[in-house]
Amino acid sequence: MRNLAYTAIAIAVGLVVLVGYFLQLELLVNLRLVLLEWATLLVAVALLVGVINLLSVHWRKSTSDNKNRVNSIALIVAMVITLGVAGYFGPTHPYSLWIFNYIQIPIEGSLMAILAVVLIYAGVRLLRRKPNLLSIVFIATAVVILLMTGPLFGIDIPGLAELRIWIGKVPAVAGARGILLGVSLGIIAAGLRILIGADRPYGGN
Amino acid sequence: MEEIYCPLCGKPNPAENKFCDFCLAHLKPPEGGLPEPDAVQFPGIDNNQDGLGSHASDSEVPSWLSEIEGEDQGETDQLAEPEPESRKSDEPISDWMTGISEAEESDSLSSDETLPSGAIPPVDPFLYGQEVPASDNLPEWLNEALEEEEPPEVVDPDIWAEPSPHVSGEPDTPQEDLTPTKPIDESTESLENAGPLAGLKGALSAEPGVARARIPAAYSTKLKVTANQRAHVDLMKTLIEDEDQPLPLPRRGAISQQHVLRWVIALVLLMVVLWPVVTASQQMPYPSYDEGSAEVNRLINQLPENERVLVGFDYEPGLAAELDATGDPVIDHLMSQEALLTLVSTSPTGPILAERFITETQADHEYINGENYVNLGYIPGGAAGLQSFFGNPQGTLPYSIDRSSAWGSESQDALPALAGINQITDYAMVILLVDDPDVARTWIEQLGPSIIDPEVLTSFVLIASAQLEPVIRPYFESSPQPVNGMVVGLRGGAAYSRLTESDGIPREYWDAFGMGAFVAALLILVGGLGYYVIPELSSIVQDQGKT
Repeated sequence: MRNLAYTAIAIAVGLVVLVGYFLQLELLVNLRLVLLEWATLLVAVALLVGVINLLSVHWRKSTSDNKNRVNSIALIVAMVITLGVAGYFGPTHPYSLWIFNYIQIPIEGSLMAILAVVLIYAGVRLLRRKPNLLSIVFIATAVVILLMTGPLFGIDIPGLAELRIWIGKVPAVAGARGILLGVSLGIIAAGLRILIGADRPYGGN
Repeated sequence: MEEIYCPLCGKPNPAENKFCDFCLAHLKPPEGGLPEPDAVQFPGIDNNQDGLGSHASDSEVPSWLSEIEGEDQGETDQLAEPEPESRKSDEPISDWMTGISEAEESDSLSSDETLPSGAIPPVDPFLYGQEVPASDNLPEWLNEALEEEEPPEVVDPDIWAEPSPHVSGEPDTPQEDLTPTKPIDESTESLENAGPLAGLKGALSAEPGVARARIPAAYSTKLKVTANQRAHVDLMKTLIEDEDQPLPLPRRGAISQQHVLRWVIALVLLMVVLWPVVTASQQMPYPSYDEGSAEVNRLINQLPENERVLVGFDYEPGLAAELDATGDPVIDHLMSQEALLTLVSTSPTGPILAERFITETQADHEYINGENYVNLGYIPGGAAGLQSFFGNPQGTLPYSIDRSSAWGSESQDALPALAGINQITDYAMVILLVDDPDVARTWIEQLGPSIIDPEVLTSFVLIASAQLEPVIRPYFESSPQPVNGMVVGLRGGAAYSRLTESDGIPREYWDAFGMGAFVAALLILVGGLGYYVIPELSSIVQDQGKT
């Protein structure tokens, strides 16, 4: 009986939001907006619950004999300091921005820099590991895009710029369109399954 | 204490025992070898012609056995006497008794004819003259003794038999073969020589029976294999055992070829990128702008002053360098138009990035929070949150990031950036800085239907990471356009800077970016070919050297 109620509520809410998207009836539109605000609030609360859960998990790890508990202690300390500074001074205060500018951005930026080195290394070894036609095409495409994305010292190689534009507009876009169509069809199918009750991610058999 | 084992039952006995304590079988062969058949002497039994003889010594026979022998002696005497005539008397007998009596008489007559009168066959424990079966039922020592000993001369048992037709060479007939030629010979009846029945003749022999029913000999369970087979078994065993053990990976040195290559790539890239920064070189020409950048430039140029623009900051801090450089000329152009900005984000780190971008990257414009722009913060819920915000921005994000009432109240007016904004189409332009294709698609799909209407003047512009170009270009090239313009990557930012003739972050990055991209392409090309060609050439040289 309870599962039936869950299913009925989910289907009703889904139908109201979907129909309110197409039919501009005032009652339906207002109801749809209220439901969407509730969903937004629930997601925000879920984010807070996730943060609390993260803190509790690492608290348990830090108080145990785990050999990696130093990492958990560092996470708890960083979380407490950041929450304290941003909570007390506000997220736009220079102290908060200092933490963001000089800790978070450099750490994530350095990871991207390592990624650049690793990708070049993988490209160097690709012909050795898989010397086939696809590898050659992949390497040639990457080289053309890299050369023509930058200024290339002001040198204009005939045809190379046009080749770069053609690669970006035809093969790449063709593949991306296929991906987008597939994603859209998948989303439609998933939405319909939830609307008709065939798929119940909220629980129930 | 030395023990010997019974050859019959296999149980241990003291070495001085002659008989087994358990089965009373002979433990040792009799001294002097096996006796001659005529000289075979059993305790208490005299091998005389009279059958059971007198006792050699009463001391060797137990009293109970003496009584038994006495009774047997009496019976034997009675049997030896002729049947009294009274048995053949005139006593009336029935017909069936008559038949039996006649049969007995005929039998007795035939016995009398085949046996010599008064001849009792000698007691013979072994049936000489016949081949003793090999060591099936006899202990080994007895077999050896039998083999060493020549069979004694004995009276052929056939002397009591009638001449066989086989001997005469005459063809025999089945009828003759079936004719009994030899009576039951008492001499074949064994005489017990051990155990409680010792001295009795005709009793069921214990030893042969026991021998047949004895415990099977204990054979060794070890497999008898040859040395060659053993070697093969050991080899197979080694192979199987090695299968379970993981092969140790070859130990790499602290500095391997891969490590060196990675470090070389990193150092080369670092030097090449740092060189324009150190020398402050800004000589590389800007690229030519594309249609996406030109469209964005046109849309911003058309904006009237103090127009309200929604700007979404949906990228991660790791890609802040690229998105800051890409978005810098666009936002700079927008601020130069004195647009009033509303900042939002669907990423938790987005509001801080937006605040940082406005206050640090665009510090020259001296935008003031609450007057020229408002940061509404984080929109939770992904697509649902965006849909809610586009339909009801006041209800979804009622407060700014500094906890002020952004949309006003009865006693307070709304902030200038939000004045007159009730829905998303009240904004003149929506600009999204994004690095994730899914986030970009969500924004396009949620916002697109609202601004596709030709009567709506809101335009949607994307400032995206270079990796998103294939994903967002289909939306830009479609008709009607859900995306009205796009600036992609540092190249797009540099092209936009060329359009606006500004020198911002793209100018600082452009030379280093160009050098880095060129060297990266060169490393992949040259390094890849070298990595592939050099080992191939070396293998060819080695093959030629071998041949």
